[in-house]
Amino acid sequence: MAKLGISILSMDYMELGNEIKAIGKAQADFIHLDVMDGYFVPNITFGPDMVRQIRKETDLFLDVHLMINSPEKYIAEFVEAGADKITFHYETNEYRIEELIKKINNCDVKTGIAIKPNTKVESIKPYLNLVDSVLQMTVEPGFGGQSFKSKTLKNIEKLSEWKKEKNADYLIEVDGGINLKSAKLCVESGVDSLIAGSSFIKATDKDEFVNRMQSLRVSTINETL
Amino acid sequence: MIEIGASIVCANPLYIAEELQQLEIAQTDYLHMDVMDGIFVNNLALGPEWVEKISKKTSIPLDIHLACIDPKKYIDMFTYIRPKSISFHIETTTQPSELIKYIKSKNINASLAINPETKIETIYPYLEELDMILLMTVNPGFAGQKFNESVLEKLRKLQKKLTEINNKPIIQVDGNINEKTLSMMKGMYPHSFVLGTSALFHQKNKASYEEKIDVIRKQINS
Repeated sequence: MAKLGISILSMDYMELGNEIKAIGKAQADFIHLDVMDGYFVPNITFGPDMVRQIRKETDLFLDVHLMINSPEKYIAEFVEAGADKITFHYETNEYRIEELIKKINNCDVKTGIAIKPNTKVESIKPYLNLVDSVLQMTVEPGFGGQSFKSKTLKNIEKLSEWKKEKNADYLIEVDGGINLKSAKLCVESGVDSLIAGSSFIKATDKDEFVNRMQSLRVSTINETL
Repeated sequence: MIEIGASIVCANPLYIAEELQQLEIAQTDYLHMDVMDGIFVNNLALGPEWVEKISKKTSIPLDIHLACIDPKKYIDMFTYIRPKSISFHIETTTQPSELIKYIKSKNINASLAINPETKIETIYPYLEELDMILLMTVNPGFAGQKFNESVLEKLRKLQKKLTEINNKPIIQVDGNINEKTLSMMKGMYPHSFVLGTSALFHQKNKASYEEKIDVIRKQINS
């Protein structure tokens, strides 16, 4: 069974409260929140205040994805605002990764490390036993509505291999251009946790969409192929 | 005519459509949008996609305040939304005139923002080029801060300086503006007031936005 998180990045901001409720009603596993500063990525979104408001509205697990230049500065504030997991980018702080992981762990929340599509997956290998999840970005981070980059599947396969080799328990996650089609490829390559944005918004039957995504597993894919 | 603006970063983002409706009923003159980059200020807020959705939902003009270290980059991120005005900080650039010209070339009013600690004289060379001056009365970044009384002296100085100038920019104040802090400004009211948590969005005071803004207008006009 795959886990499914819903990203609010492409949602109708005018109706965000109702959109958040809809995510809960469709029984997704978590909400993915993209924090951007305009420097690490060419877009800016929101900060801890938004997370605090969303926390008041839902009991769902809140996964905060920091696409910002100085993640270490904001960890405590996002945790205080209600984050259940903090995912930071390897590329922002490659020389102090262990400190950053320790800092997040000390806040009693889950720790995730993320890489962009063009980053060598080998570069995060030393940290895999220290984190709860690895987020492979399957588009260049910054904007919603982009197409899945299939070359990232190779990274996912490696992450999956290493996990078996090391007998590790980190979750492999993907974010960017995830729909039923790309999700199948991802799960087949070893992904445990899918993040969907536009495809959830477009789905007319949200319950069915969530259900189909969550039902993906390696064996069922092989059967249908 | 004085102008009253509402600071959107203090509104409830989950029910922003309702907030906008109430602000329209209250005849808010403009919506003040704090864009925070997490570097110039220790907070992150209000991206262009968010601001664009608001601009489509309401006819209230938008006033964008860039609390960001790289103003040119952020000006470019927001001009397509066609706001009424854009403020950038004197503390973030050595070339204010170029940025002022650039903003004006897009048919947007150009404004220079200044933090409480920054000497008011630093903006004097640009006064005639500007449409507006945003005098911060708290350090930008967070709601609920105390009004910085040292700004009163700056306001006095600036108004005196402006009497020497033909092409006068308007003055806007932002940060903990409410009945109490307004009374400190009595006799030297600026033109434009940004209302945030303390005067408008505070949930403890159950009055409507219309009633709250009326109270402020009456006080300024009395």
